[in-house]
Amino acid sequence: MNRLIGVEVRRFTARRLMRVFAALVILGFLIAAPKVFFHSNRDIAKATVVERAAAQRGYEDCVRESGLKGGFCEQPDLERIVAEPRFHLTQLVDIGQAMAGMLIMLSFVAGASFAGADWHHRVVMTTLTWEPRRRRVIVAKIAAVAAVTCVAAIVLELVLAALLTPAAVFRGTTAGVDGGWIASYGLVLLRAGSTAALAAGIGCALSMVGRATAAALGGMFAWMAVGENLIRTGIPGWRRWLVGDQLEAFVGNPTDRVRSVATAGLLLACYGALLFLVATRVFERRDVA
Amino acid sequence: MAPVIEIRGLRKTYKGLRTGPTVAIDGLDLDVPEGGVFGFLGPNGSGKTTTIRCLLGLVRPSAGSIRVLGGDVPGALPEVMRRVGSIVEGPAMFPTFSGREQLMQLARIDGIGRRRVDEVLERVGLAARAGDLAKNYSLGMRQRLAIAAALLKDPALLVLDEPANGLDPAGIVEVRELMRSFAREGRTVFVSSHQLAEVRQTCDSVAILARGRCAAAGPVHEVLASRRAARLVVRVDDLARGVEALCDAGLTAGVSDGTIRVALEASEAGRVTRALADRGLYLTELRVEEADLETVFLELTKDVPEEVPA
Repeated sequence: MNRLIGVEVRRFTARRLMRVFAALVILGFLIAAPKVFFHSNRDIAKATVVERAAAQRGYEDCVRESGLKGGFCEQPDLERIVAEPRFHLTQLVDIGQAMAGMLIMLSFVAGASFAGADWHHRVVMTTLTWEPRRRRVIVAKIAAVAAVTCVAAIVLELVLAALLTPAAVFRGTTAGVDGGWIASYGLVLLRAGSTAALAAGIGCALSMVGRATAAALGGMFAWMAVGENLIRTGIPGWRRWLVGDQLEAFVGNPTDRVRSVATAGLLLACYGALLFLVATRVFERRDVA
Repeated sequence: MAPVIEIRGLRKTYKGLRTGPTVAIDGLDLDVPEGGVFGFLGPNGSGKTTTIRCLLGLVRPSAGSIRVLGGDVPGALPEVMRRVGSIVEGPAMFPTFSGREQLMQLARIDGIGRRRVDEVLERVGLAARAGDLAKNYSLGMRQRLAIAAALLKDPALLVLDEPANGLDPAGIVEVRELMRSFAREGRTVFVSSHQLAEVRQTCDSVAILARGRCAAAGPVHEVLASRRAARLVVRVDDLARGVEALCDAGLTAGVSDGTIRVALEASEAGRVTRALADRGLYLTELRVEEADLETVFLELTKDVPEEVPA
């Protein structure tokens, strides 16, 4: 089994699509990191002057254009405006949560296309003539994509953190970075990694059932974009069971959280396990032609 | 000696939403003896590939039983497949790997080492191009790579589905030699093909499949003999007088392709020589007419009753 997983890992990481995804994400980091670095500065007084002047100018423009005073246009309380031009290292938590969404989508596509390509190139048939125990084959495939995407998601989050750290250290602040923050950031990384793994596994499982990448992508799009939105608007009481809301509750920081992080994660894991069982059962009974 | 492949009452029906059920194999019984090259013949759609897929556990039979190398399929497949090399419907490749890496990926599944990979690459003549991406290989090279993959496990049974497809004449000869050399080592090659000339030259035994049923099976010469009326080929300088002499002697004879064909068992060839000698005609050739596999194949596949509705 370990050999089979090793082979699947090797094949998954050798895919061109994986390299393209990794290159695009890192390119995005390389563009964003210098921008954050140069936008961040520690001259709070100067930044506050600029911000107050901008607020006053906005008010004056409003008055001039509307012809009103005091009613429609609100006089800014300039004393209360204090700029914060520094990049805070603690912002990595929010950035990590935002990036997790993108990593989940990329992982789903990577997992789906891996299994879809295997069907397209008839590699599934070749593999079964070497390992006829189908349960092992599908478990190895899903385990491989889940493990690789989990590690890749965490590594990419850490790469981004490493690229943004100079902005905080040299032109921003590391205030608030303590044991508690490190623990909470660690949890963000783990949640990003685990949901990326789950998404890749689900993509792979759907492709194994549909025997094509398009089946997985189309099925997931139809469910998330159409099915869940219809339920969300038509039967609001069911919202707390929807995949999208669980993902938001588990990885993000929504204002109207439907569940706790732990229960959302548990529910996602249950959904994933159910889908894997169905995919395994279908694959075991299917004619491979 | 127990057959390496035993198929009893194999039936496979595919369910089609629009077309309704289609019977691909309809009660197939087949024994493949150990050793030698066994040809599995049949026209397109006769069920050859479905049978091979059933043998390898890729397709679930609707009814019947299969034993391969003494193990039940699908129950004993994990043990059986360690001793079976196969190609089903041409080579299936991992597109991003070189030829050697393709084989390495498969070898790792069974814990086979790199040395064996190099051996099989050498054996199929791909050692020099082993580092090239397999997707850049010609069809013939891909076919050889697939054969190399099938040989990796050092199998007791080699199952090949149309292995000569896409190969040039030199490649076809190489595959033929490979199959024969494999058989000489005491192993069994089960090969499906529609290239009858190839089968005639390569196979020791054949089974002819038509519409999912076995129309004939056994050693090649027996299958040919069973479907061909006995005829002798006779050549004399004066064909017209020869025919006249043979007919006067009570034999059924006629001219065809510059020779006289006489409907007679080989054991009675003396009647021919006597009849001709009595008229002062002397033989330049006398032989038993060789059965033509193509003709037998067409006869057998034509005779099978229409498909039974499922």
